[in-house]
Amino acid sequence: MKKRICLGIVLVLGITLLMGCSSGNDETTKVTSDRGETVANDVSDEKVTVKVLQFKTELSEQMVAMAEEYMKEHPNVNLQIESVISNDYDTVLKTRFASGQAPDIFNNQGHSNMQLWLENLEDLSDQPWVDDMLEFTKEAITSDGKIYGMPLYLESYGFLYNKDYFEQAGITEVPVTLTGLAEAIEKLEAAGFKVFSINGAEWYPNGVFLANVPMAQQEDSTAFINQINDGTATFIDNEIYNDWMDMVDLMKSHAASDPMSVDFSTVVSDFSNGQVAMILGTNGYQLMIDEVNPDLNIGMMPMPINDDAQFNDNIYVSASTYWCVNKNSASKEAAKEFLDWLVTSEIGQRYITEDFGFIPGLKSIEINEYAVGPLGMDTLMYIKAGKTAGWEWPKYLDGVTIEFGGAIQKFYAGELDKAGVLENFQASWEDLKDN
Amino acid sequence: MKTKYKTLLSVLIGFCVVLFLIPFYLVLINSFKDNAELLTNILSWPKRFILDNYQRAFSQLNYTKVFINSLIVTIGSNAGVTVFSAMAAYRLERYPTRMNKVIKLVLLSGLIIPFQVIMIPLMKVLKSIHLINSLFGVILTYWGMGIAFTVFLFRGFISSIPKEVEEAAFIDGSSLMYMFWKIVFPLLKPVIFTAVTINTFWFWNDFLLPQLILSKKELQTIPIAINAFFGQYVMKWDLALPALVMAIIPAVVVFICFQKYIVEGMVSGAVKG
Amino acid sequence: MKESRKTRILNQTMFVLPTVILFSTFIIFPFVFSFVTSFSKWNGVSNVFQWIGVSNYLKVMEDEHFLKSFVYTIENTAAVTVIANIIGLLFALILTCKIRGSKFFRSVLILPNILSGIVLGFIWKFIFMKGLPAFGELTGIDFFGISWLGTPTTAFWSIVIVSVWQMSGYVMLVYITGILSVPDNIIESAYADGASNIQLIKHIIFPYLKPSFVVCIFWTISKNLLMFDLPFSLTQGGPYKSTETLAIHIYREAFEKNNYGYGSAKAMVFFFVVILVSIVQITLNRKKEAD
Repeated sequence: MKKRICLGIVLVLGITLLMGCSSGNDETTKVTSDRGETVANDVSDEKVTVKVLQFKTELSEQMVAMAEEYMKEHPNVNLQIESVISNDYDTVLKTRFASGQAPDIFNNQGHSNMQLWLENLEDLSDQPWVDDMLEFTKEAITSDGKIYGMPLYLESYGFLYNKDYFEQAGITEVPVTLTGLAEAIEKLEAAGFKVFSINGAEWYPNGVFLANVPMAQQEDSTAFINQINDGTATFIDNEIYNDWMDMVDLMKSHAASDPMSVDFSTVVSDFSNGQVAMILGTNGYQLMIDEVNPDLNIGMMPMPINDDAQFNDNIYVSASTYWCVNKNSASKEAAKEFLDWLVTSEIGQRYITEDFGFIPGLKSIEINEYAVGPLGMDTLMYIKAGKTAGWEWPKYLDGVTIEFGGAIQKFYAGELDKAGVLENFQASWEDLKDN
Repeated sequence: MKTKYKTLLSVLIGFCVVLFLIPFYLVLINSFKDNAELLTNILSWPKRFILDNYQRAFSQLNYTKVFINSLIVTIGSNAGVTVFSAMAAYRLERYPTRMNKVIKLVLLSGLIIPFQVIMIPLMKVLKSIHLINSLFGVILTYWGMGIAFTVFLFRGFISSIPKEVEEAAFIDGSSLMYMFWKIVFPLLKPVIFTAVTINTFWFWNDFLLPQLILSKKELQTIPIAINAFFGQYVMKWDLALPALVMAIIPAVVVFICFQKYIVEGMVSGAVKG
Repeated sequence: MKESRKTRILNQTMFVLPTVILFSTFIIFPFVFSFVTSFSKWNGVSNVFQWIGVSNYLKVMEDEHFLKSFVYTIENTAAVTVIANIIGLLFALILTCKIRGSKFFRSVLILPNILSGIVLGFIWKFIFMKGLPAFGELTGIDFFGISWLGTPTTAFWSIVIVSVWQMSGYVMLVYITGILSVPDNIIESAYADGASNIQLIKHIIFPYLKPSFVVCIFWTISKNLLMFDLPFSLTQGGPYKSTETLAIHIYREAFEKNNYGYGSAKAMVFFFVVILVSIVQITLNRKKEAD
């Protein structure tokens, strides 16, 4: 019996070693130098491998299908698309680079994220699709006049609202002033509807999306950030930030339940089940809402913070992610070819607009109404009218969004008042600046 | 013991068991609901039993493949950790030279090093020995990470085994290695079961390490595959829950089948006359 | 057992060397790398390391957030260790009396241990956010409708509940093996002498439990000090960082704030503090035993 155990263990160890060696073999044919440079390729097949690491895991199947169609047309390319959940994306990306498994195409948010990765980003200014980029998508991914990424899709956020409820409550126009919002809320409550469902349990939507409103509404957010950095301006005495806290206060006072017990899935289900009339949401919520209630008549509207209608009449749109090419990759030409195919070929465009349901970041690609849904159509409407503001947090200091989120959560919990939140913002910013 | 007490205790424990199992119950019943019903009504018995969820989850997970991968990793890691820890623990405990004492302490310190701290350099190490993107790389890393605690576990047990048996064998003239495998190792059955049980739960469910090392789709383990159901804005509970059930069931089944042996195994060596 | 020099070297090599090599390669070397990085400013991406000497360490001393994380981690570890061990011990004591179905109960109570990592977090998030409030509505008991994860206090105890739920089963098993190691004849003679159950437990069983006790304490302390997955998926370290364990804090510093060097310094401080405390504890124990 003991002999059999010993034999068993030795056998297992042996098999493991064999299996391990065989599955590790692929890597040994590549000659790898440090920092993720792959110098030689699989000599046997004469195939070029293009590895993509992207974070929309909800589209992983469709991405794979698209890769297969691409490979049919381009038999000498082995296109591998890997999806990693966005929470872990940065960590996985860094680790892949550190371990010599750097992908050939990866995602980048632009601004400071671009600066962080700059030495690994290929200059794409000469690519055919660059002129097709929507103007407002260029700034974030431009450094020193060079373009480093492709805005594959746009995302937007604002208040998502239930159009039927608005109609029933007698609200004929989407409010673009704070007073107008307060009136709309009154009408909704008078008609028996609960108004807001607020995600207070998670710092992310608060520190990222909600806190972006006052920053994006600044005349020049970059200048404002510089002023905060050199001490000539603060969050505390900035009028826009103070107005914004009034709006947040309004939201909080009309929340259907305690925000601290509400998380993302609750917000979505509350809204989809018609339990509340409004939530803060992105166009990406469409997918989840459709699962619960595909017939829900909804739209996206601005988030007014004061009574200047023209000032407030916009939603927040950005190319939230850029697809970039690894500068040190041996397959970068093939990678660029693929990106070009993706946005210019019929098949590629079909995937973008139909299967992925994207709002494209390039002018010439026609949006697909059914695929993007009502939220996408509203977004398009605001884009065409030029009523958009940006996503400014990639310009922030690293790590400040979680502090902002925490301060807003304290506000929901009643531990900070409006002024306290702004003081907290200021203190956190200064604290991180010294890092 | 009085029967009155016994029944009371039975009931008490029974109640605790029910409480303990509620989370599993919730996962199970909700795995049969579609997303809409899931988000709205959690506690209820499913209106209809949607087996489609399981089917879709099975194919999207590529269940057979990831199951095999997880199995290889778990078995391989267990084998290595157990064997190496047993040998090292035995030697360190029976031959307390100064060097061995130092090694003992250094191994213990491994218990307070968070994984996040060594994550990146670990990847660099794996890269330099060409074991990135291989199951063996994962297994080898688990060997390295698991021995700290397992050696500790074995050491405690070994110190309670009387030396006479080994000394007798030695007089026979056998080598230490031979004697170890013939006599000592079988005596370690209880602690082997203990170690394997706890390590298996770790290897089977571990997510971060395999995710960082393995990027090839065909090498993915179960936790990596399940994680794909949680996206930025979408949590495919209707796929994730069946996937979770399918991930847990093998471990549960194995445990229940073998629990007699496992518990007895853990207990057997402890009963010494 | 005397060995010739040759055999000694051979035996040491065969028995200990594999372990030493594995441990050094996968734990010590990476740890040293991080230690070295702690004296630099590095963002985790670029090829450039900026050497800044001990300034990271000086900063750590003044870092309030780090201190809060440290304190929270210790508090959480203490709570879970104590509660899980008490509950595990109670279960073990109960299930070693000859009760009907104890074998079944034993195997069922360890099932929670099968879940871990983010899976555990997701399931319990489900339960805390939706399951319990729904139960509260159903039964009309308000208590269940509280915001389980919404305030620092409730979040703290919610995490403790989940950890205890997950760990008690295994702790129980270890204690069971300890209890069963008490020879039957000793127990019988104790009963014959008229010992009550409580006396039996205190004076006979407890001494036999010392090894199990050591294993369980070490295991629970280690697991809780290094805890990452559960608070990360359950509360993301919130609300407002009140449940941010040290592992999460270090991870955020290194990967989200891109301060790998500073993060490593914090990890080192944590490591050395724990080592120091352990050494002090062991020395005190030795002194006690010597007395």
